[in-house]
Amino acid sequence: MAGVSGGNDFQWCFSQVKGAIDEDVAEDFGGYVASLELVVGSDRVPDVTVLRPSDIISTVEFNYSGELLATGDKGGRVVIFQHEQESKNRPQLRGEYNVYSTFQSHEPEFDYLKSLEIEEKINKIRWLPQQNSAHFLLSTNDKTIKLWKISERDKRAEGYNLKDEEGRLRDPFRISSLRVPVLMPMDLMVEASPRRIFANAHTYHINSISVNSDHETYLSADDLRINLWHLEITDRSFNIVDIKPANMEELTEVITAAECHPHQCNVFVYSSSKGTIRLCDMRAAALCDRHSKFFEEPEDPSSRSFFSEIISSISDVKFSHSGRYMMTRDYLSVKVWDLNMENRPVETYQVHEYLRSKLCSLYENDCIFDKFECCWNGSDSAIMTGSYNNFFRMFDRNTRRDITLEASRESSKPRATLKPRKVSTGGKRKKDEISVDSLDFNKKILHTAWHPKENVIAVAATNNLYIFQDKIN
Amino acid sequence: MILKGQKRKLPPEDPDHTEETTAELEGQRQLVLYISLNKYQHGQVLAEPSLRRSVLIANTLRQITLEAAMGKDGGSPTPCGAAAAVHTKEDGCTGMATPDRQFTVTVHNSHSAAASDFSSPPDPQFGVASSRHQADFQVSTPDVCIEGGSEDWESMSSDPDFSLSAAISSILTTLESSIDGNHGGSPAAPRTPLRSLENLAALEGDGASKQGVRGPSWGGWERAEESRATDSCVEVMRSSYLGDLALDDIFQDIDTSLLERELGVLGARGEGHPSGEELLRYLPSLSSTVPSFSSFSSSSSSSSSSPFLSINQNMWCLPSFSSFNPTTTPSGSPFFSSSSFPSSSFPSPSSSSYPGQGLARDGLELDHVMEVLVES
Repeated sequence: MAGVSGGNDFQWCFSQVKGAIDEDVAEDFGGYVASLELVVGSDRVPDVTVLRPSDIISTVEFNYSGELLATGDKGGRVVIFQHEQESKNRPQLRGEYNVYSTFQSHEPEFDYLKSLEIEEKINKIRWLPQQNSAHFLLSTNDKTIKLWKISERDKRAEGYNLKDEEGRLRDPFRISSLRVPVLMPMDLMVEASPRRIFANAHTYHINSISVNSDHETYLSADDLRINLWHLEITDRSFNIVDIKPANMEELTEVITAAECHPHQCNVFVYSSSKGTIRLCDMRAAALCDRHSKFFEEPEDPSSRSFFSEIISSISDVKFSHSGRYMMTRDYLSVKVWDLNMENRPVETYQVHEYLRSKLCSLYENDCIFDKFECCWNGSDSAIMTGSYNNFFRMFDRNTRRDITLEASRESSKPRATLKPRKVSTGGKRKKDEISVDSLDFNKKILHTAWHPKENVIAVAATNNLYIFQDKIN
Repeated sequence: MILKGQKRKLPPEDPDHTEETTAELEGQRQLVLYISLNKYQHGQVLAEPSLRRSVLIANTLRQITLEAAMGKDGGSPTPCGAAAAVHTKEDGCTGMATPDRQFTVTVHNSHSAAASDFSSPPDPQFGVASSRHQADFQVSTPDVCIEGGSEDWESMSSDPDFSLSAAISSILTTLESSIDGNHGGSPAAPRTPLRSLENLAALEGDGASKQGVRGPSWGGWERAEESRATDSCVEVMRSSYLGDLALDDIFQDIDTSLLERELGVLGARGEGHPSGEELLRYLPSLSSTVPSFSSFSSSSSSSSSSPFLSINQNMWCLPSFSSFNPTTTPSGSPFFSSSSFPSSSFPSPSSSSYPGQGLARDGLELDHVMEVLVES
């Protein structure tokens, strides 16, 4: 499809990149110390970077207002960026995102009963709607969900009677007068404290969490079960879906993603590894093993292959902001479903159809099991998902146009407009096109997020976080 | 142009072309099967075991066997035609006879050198050529046997499917035991709605198999941090021999002290002592199949579905078990290898001896003694 230019289309330009240390600029990224450059003598050895696995970003999420952007990584850390106010000097540039808070959310654990290590990798972060000056988010690894409170402290009480300024106790007999402590401004300090820990409810690996629209409950889904929690209660949860067969030999399907409906607090969906989505209504029964709606597209017999089932496995499901549609991501495509129509999606977008002929080798190197995420923009008019070679794709639902962009250092000049990329499938490779065989399958963009109100996107490329903004015309 | 009244004739099929496409499909199936089996083996070694991945691989394997079976029956709607059915049979049944088209025991061991030394078992191991295929695979490489030659496949026609389906069922069983900690397909506890899950850890923990054995103790298998619960089956098997109360009566005169000492080294004893119910579960089957134990060395094509044999199948197919020292034991699984049973001489490993090797040796001696007991 043709690229995007002018008109109502977006013109994405580079804003920031977080995570790697450039040779010129060494900023403090609040805990991200991702890559080193080897300097051999006076020469530099380019492209030799040492990647720490713990710095690989594993989830990206804007909060409800878009002011905060949270990332989780494989080392169990959460880094929150805050949108700075626009500067008066450069009004054409929206404010930047700077590090707001960094904390260690999860630590590696060891399950002694099963002799298995529990990874500290953050699988998902979900923000809670803001109700007071503090911010709350849920972060989860494979087994445990934690509710974190992020609060600011910019004032400090001074003038205590019993303590002096250094905190030492004053001799009570020497106190001759009383004074009232006064709040004095101090440097902003952002504290993150765990308020709730929801543990021991999942035998299998948690793949999704989703906050309900009632702001009191949330669901957590692992491979075979979905639990419903109350945010205040940590010692119990309700199991609402269980697809574990009595005989594990009969297991053929697992849960891959789940999400609560954005407006109806009784509705949620979960997707499976067989390419099906089930919508459940919690009012119907306490156990939602029986779905209310079943979404599945009939298979095209002409394109059947040994890998049909694997590539039909849904890796992500997201409701639209309106609540009327939902989007699913399988290996090669993104599909938009109308909740009122179960037998087929209303829109299908091919992400990287050129990989269909390479499925065997992708199966061999395990790339076929990659779980790509997808996201809506604030108005539900566009959707975005990632691909390989640090490419990510955007689809405009109204104009049916799509664009492929790359998150790379080379195209990361400040406010530089991103150039559309193209993968050549045929024999003839035009200039600036990349052939399928030269794609780097180790550079995959699995996690992307779109600002809920503005045209700002965050793209996680392995250990780097790219932030792109739409140029304000 | 078709004249009125003339029937259209189907253009004569090019038999070579048909053979090629079906051969391609067959080759692709072989390749995918090979990759899938290999992948499941190595999936055990992954840092992040993924149930979704294992289930998808198992489903792919199942689909391949189904298609192979349907192709064999001849009445399949799949692209495989009748010609393919012949090829399927021949491919599946070609055993060790063609050296240059070696089929390795991919279920057992991904190391071709070790596996290709399987000499005796008449149970043909369903496998694909061991050579690594390039990423963009093109079919009809010489290593992939397309024409089976003049093998007599009729007598062996049922075996590849059985061995493969047995492999799949064993994979799924180990799936269950690895993720859930259960083994033997115990029925799920009755689920009450709105139950609280405070004691979930305890509930699941009761069924969890005791895995006191870590990677390094299994003879050099380098994954030190995680141990898949595939060892659970092994654990139970070992412990079912190793002097529990009921078994002590049967094997009073067997000197298991060395064995127990080995176990002490492995650290399996303390945590690994299985609960009584688990042993009792296996005991009846043990007694019923002991007489046939000596026959296990020969063709394993029996269709017995006893848990005992199914455990043996699990052990047979356990990659961790057989691959702990690829340079030595040509006979694969040290416990139930058909070619080495009932010989008590165990080929000494060329590299340093692992505790697991010693354990295997003792296990073999135990088996030998058991057979002696039975026969007497």
